[in-house]
Amino acid sequence: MATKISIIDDDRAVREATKDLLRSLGYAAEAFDSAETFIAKGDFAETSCILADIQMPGMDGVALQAFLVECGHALPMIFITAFPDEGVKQRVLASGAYGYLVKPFDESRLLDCINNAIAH
Amino acid sequence: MAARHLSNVAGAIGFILYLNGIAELALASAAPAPQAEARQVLLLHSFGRDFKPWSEYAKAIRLELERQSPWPLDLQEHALITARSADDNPEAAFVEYLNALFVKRRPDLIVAIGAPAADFVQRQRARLFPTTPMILAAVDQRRVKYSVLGPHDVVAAVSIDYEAAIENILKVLPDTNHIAIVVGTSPIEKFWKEEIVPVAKRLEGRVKFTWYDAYSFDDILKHAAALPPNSAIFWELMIVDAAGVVHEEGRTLSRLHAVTSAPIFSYTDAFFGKEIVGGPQVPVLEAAERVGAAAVRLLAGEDARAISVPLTGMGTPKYDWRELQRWGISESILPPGSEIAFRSPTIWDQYRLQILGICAAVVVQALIITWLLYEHRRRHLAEVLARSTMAELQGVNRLAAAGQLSASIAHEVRQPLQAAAANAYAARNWLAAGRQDIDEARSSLDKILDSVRRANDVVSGIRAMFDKDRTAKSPVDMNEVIRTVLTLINLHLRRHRIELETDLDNTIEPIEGHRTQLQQVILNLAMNAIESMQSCPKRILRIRSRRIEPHGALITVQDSGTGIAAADLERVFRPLFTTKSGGMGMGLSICRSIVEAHGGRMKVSSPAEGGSILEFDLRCMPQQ
Repeated sequence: MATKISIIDDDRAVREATKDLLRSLGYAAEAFDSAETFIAKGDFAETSCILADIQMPGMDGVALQAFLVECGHALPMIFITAFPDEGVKQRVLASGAYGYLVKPFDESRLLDCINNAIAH
Repeated sequence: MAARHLSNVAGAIGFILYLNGIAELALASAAPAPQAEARQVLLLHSFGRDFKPWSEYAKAIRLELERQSPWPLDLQEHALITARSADDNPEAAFVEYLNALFVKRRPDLIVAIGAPAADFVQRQRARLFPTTPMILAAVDQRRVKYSVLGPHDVVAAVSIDYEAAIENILKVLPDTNHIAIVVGTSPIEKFWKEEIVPVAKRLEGRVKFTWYDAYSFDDILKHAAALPPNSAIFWELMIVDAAGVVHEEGRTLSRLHAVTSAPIFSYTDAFFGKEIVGGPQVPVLEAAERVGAAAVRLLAGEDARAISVPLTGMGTPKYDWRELQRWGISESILPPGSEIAFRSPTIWDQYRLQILGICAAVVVQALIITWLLYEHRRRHLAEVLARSTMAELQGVNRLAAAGQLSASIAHEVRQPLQAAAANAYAARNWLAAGRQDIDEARSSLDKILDSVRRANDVVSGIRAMFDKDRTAKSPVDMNEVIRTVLTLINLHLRRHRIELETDLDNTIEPIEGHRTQLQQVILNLAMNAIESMQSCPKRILRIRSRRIEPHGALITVQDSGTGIAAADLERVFRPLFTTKSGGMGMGLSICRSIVEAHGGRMKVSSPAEGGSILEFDLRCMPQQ
C-alpha cells in the first residue's frame, strides 16, 4: 500500500515546508510545483494522499480533483488554501475531499485529515 | 486842486521846462503813406517819460494809437516837471514853448497823460491850441475838472478803488495787522495820500498804518526790511521822498522789493510784473485801448462832445505767482476768477508728455506686475489645490485598490505564515523525544526565519503601497516596483486566470521618485488591464521595462482585453472618465498626474491586434 503523500503547491517555501513537516512526522512526501508536473510524473499508484493548493497557475487544485476523478484516479485529496472560499470548500468536500485547510493550519488538523485519507 | 498842493511843497524843485529829449517819435512819418498826411499828436507827460505809472500808460497809449490809427502818426512827446514842485510861475513859459514848437502847424490831437498834465492843459486850454481835440488820459476821475471841459475835450479817466485794493491785502493775508503806505511828498502824492486816509481810518483798530511820506527813501528801505510779521506794504507812489529827493528812474519799487520783509501791493497793473503780489488793479492796457479808440475818432473829425469814454475801473484781480509763492499765499484764498500771471513753468508744464509717458509706462508695468503676481498666486493656489485633491484622490484610489486586493494581500501574507508554521511544526517534530535530529531542526528554523522575512517584506510592501505617501523622493528601481506590485496581485491574477508575461530590462537605472506613487501607477495599470480582460477568453498581461538612452526607463503595460475605442483614446486620462460600472474614473488620471510629476509622459494606444497599451517614460537619475 502506497504511503507517499504528494504535495502540490506553486509556492516553493510552502511546498518545501509542508514536505519537511510530513517528513518530520515520518511520512514519505514528494513535492510538486504544479498539478501539471504531478500528472506528468503519473505516480498515481504510489500516492496515498494528495495535499493540493487550490490557487495555482494553470491547473488549480479543484481542476486537478476533477481531472483525477474523470480519469479514474480518485486519490484522496486534502485542499489547502490561503484564500478561503466557502463555496469552493463546499464544492471540494462534496466532491470527496478529506479536508479543506486554510493556511496557516495546525499540525493536528493536518494529521487528522491525512489519517482519515489514508485510512480510507 | 493840484495848485493848492503845489504851494504846500517845501523845498520844491524849481519850475523847469523838462523837454524830455524832444521825443520826436515820427515813427510813421519815416514812411509816409502817399494818400494821407501824417497826423500830429502831442503827448503831454505829467512827469518825465520814466515815471510809473504814467510811463506805462504812455507806452500803452502810444502802442494803441499806432495800432488803431489808419493814418501815419507824428508823435511829439513833452513832459512838464512842474508837478514835482509847488511853484507854478514857469507854466506860462512852457505854454509859450509848446506854441512855438507848433507855430507852423498846430497838433491834430493832444493827449494829456496823468493828472498833473490834465490839470495843466485844463488850466492853459485857452492858450494851448483851443480848437485842437484833446484827451485827458490816465487820470483818475477825481482829478478831472469836468466843469471846465471844453467842446473839444474828451475824458478817458480811470477810477482807483483804494478800498478794494487794501481790502484785497486783508483778504489774501488775513493775519495782516500792519500796512505801510509808500507815498511821497509831491502834490499828486499828497492828494492820493488824502484819498487813502479814509480807507485807513475805516480799518482803524484792525490794522495799523505807517505812512512813508515821512521817510526818506533810504529810511523807507531800512524800515521795510525790518517790518514785523503780518505786515504788508501798499505802493502808492514815490516821486519825491521826505528828503526831497526825486525818484524818476522807476527803480524805487524794485529796490524796495529787493529788501522788503513784507509783501507789496498796489492799485494799478502799471506796477505789476515783478514786485507786486497783485489784486484788483486798474488795467493800463484797457485804459489805453479806450484812449486809442477815442483818439482815432477825434482824429477822424468826430465831435468831441459825441464821444463818451467809459470809466476804467479796477480790473479782474490779478496775482503774480512768484510773489504768491514767496509769501506763502495759497491760490485757494484768492478771489474767484482771479488771474495768476508769471506762473513759472513747472517740470510738469515743461515735460508733461514725457512725464505722462513715464507715468503711463510705470502704471502699465505695475498693472502687468500686479496681474502676473495675481496669476502666479492663482496658479499657486490652483496647484496646491490640485496637489491636495490629487493626493486625496490618490489616497482614495489606493484604498479602493487595497479593498479590491484584500484577499490577494491576505493570500500573500498567509503563504509565508503557512511555511513558517509548517516549518515550526517540523522543527518541533525533529526535536521530539528520542529523535533529536538537530540538523533537520536547524534547517527548519532557518526556513522559518526566511518565511518571517518574506512575510515582513509583503507587509512592508503593503504599507508602502497603500499608506499615505510621506516619503521624500528617493532612488527607485522600477523593476522592483513592478515585482512588488505583481506579488501583491498574484492571487488576483490567478483568480482571473490572467497569464502574466513580464519582460524586465535589468539595465535600467533607478529613477528619482516616490516609490508609493510609482507602485500605484503600476498597480492601477495592471488592475485596469485585468478588468479589461474579464470578458475575454484570452487573458494576457504583459509588463515590460526598457532602458531609454541616455537616462530613462520606458514601462509598458499591455493587455489582450477589449481595447479602447479610438474616440476614447483622447479621453481616458480625463478625470471621471470610466468605462467600468463601478469605477470612479480617476485611475488613469491619477497615473498620468503621478507620471507627469516625475517628469514623464504617459501614452495610450490600442493596437490593431486588440487590447490596449499604456506606456510611460521616466527620467533616471543621472549617473554620478
